[in-house]
Amino acid sequence: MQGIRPPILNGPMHPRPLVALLDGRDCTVEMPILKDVATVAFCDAQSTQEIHEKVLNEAVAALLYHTITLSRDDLEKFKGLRVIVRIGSGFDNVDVKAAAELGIAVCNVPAASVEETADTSLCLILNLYRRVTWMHQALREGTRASSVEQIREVAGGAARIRGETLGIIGLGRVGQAVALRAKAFGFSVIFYDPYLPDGVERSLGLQRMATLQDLLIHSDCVSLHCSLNEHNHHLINDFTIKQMRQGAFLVNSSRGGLVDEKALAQALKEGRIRGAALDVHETEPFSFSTGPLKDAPNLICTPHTAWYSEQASVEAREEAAREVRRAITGRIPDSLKNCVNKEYLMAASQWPSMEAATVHPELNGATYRFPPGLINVATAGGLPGTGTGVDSLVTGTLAHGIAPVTH
Amino acid sequence: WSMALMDKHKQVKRQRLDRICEGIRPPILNGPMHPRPLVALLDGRDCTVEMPILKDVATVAFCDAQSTQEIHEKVLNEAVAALLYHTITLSRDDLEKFKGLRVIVRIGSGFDNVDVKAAAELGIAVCNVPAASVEETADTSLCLILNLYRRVTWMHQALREGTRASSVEQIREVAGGAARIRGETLGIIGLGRVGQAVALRAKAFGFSVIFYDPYLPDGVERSLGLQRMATLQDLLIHSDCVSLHCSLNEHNHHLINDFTIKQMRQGAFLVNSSRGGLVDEKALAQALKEGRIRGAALDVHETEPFSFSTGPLKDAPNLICTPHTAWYSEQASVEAREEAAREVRRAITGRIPDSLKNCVNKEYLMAASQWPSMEAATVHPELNGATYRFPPGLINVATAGGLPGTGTGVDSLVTGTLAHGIAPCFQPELPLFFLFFVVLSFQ
Repeated sequence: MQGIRPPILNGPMHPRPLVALLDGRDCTVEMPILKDVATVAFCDAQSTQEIHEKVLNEAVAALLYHTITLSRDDLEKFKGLRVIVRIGSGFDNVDVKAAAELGIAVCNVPAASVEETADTSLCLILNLYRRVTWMHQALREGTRASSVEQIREVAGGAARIRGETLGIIGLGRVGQAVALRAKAFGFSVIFYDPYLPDGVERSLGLQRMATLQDLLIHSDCVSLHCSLNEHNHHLINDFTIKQMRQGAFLVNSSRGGLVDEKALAQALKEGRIRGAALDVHETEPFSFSTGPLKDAPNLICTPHTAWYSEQASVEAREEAAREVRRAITGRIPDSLKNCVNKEYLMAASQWPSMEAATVHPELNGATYRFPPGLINVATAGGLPGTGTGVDSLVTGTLAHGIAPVTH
Repeated sequence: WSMALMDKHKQVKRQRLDRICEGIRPPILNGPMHPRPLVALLDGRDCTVEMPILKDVATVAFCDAQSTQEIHEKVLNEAVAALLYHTITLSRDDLEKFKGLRVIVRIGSGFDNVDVKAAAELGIAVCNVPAASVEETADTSLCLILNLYRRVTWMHQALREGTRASSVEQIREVAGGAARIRGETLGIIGLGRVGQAVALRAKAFGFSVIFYDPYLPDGVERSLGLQRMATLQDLLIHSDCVSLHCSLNEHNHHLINDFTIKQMRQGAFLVNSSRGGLVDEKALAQALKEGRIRGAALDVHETEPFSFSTGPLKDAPNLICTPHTAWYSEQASVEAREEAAREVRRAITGRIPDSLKNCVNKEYLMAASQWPSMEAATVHPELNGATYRFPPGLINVATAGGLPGTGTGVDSLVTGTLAHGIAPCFQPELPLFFLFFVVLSFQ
């Protein structure tokens, strides 16, 4: 209930709350920002099965990348979680609705990799049009092009860009950055985005298409820049591919789940799609030797790296750590900067009636949760065994717990 | 100087002397009374694009040669126009083998493979086609730059070789070196058509763009909003990524060499889609191995065709190479060939160099045509009164309306073996002072 969901316990009278990095091992960037208000642990897990029980019981905040999934069942394993922060922009790997129902705010970091992703998307598009990646590969394999006829052959398929139409699906931060770069090359840029308010197309001088089909029909190259949600899984499938132009290009630096790879492979083999460049895949890590794409021609693939630069990585991690800090030292969700499930949290907190009978009996009078498996009782000023522990990486085995508040 | 020239090339030059005199250099013989002049594609086999434009005014042949040694004697003797790509070189010695050449048209923009000065001295105009591949080359250059910064080509290659990146730490490792672009400085050497197109594209990514171009007049930098550097060294010092967009000439061979590489920033990138001769590959290889240059992307090389397994770059790391394909798209290729054929047509049906649209050695031609004095004594005795050449090895005499053996030949590709020759025009010997009248009557 609004108002009875308490802030995370912190301050000199309480033990430091536990913050856990779920699917990584390196907390060096996060530590300086969090060490005075939290204990930071890393799990290096690929699923919640691999997360230590202590973390499941005691973590109040979780940091994660895109390589672990948190379904409703996964979320229910956590007993004290109040906030989840995605170190990155996409949060489709977290069931944000279920999290809200469990009183857990979910946040992301939407800004750090916008330009890196846009730059890589343009690199993928240009590699499809100018064929640099494939020709470099051919040279590595020993191809020699002596005469101009041989040059034309090895470069065959390289196309003029001016006058081509680039269709952007999803004109968010990355989509807009891609649109503006593409204009510089002479692309006609059109987009489809059912969530964007009227007028953004006027700001940037782009043409808006009313339906996905309209966009697919008019595009020579389609680039996906929308997040993955319950409505757009396999957005690019056998049916929609057939609405695309014969010989169109497809680029995906967003989420693998948007594309039905079986349908894409078939279209590539038949030449209905002339080439595809994918940074993300239905199953990651991607391998050319397995999966539906393994025999598909005219493919360029990278291993979910469009977002990466040293600077973007550090920026995202620092911002995520700061969001966790805001959660710990402030109020949830009011103090959060990038909470993505605020509406669901507010809705979940509204009781249909305030009658005691409708309140879960175990909750009656208890405004704080009692984490099961309570281990230690807090001592004033600190926890036994912490010492200088907070300055170093804490391993999966925790030595302290979070004290409950008795009522 | 004409005497010195004759002394130097005496045996070969007799047929050329008419060209050295301004005004007595005749237009290419053409028209219903003359056989069609011979146009030869030197280093290719496909003339299908050129044919429709030239067939009514010329005979088109292809040589498919990699050097002038491979060119048939008939072509050397009779071609008045030559078309060529970048894969054959025409040095002074090569040019002297041609007996009737009046115009050379490069199907493309770079003409460093032709000695344009020597050509002018021999009365041969050299033209190029500067516009067709400007955007293709700029787009490919940006693709090369982005592949260095975002590492798509190398990561695709790693995936092909079986690398798997499961965790974010592994992703950071396989992508290690991928850098943020905004705030980086791109230094463009040569702000011509391609350099300008690259500059404007690069700005969209957040590059700070600077350039060095010693030939460009003041003010172009203001038009495009770029920063101009006064010296090459200034540019190299301030650039995170250096991209070459200048043509190759006698002054800039190995522009990028051991010394200038050391003026570049530690860990800078280098991109070359211009000419291989601008870069000393031995020095580049060393810099790549030592990491002084973080990565290089090259569409052109000192020796082409390029191979990763030979040459100074064969063990160099962090290389992206393509086989001189930056210019190519189907449309650009056809446009360039059509424009080249039209330039040949202008040469044949009009005046050289006045009718030419993209003559690159006009100044040299004009200079070469000025006689220091008009005294008869300075004119080579054999030239006296002879305004037209007599090609050696005369075969056929022209018949009105066409040549024997041509038939429908001009509509099909003519092979290296020619079936017909170009007939000479018979001229009695005339005193020099009659030359002007002769010239006027033939205009």
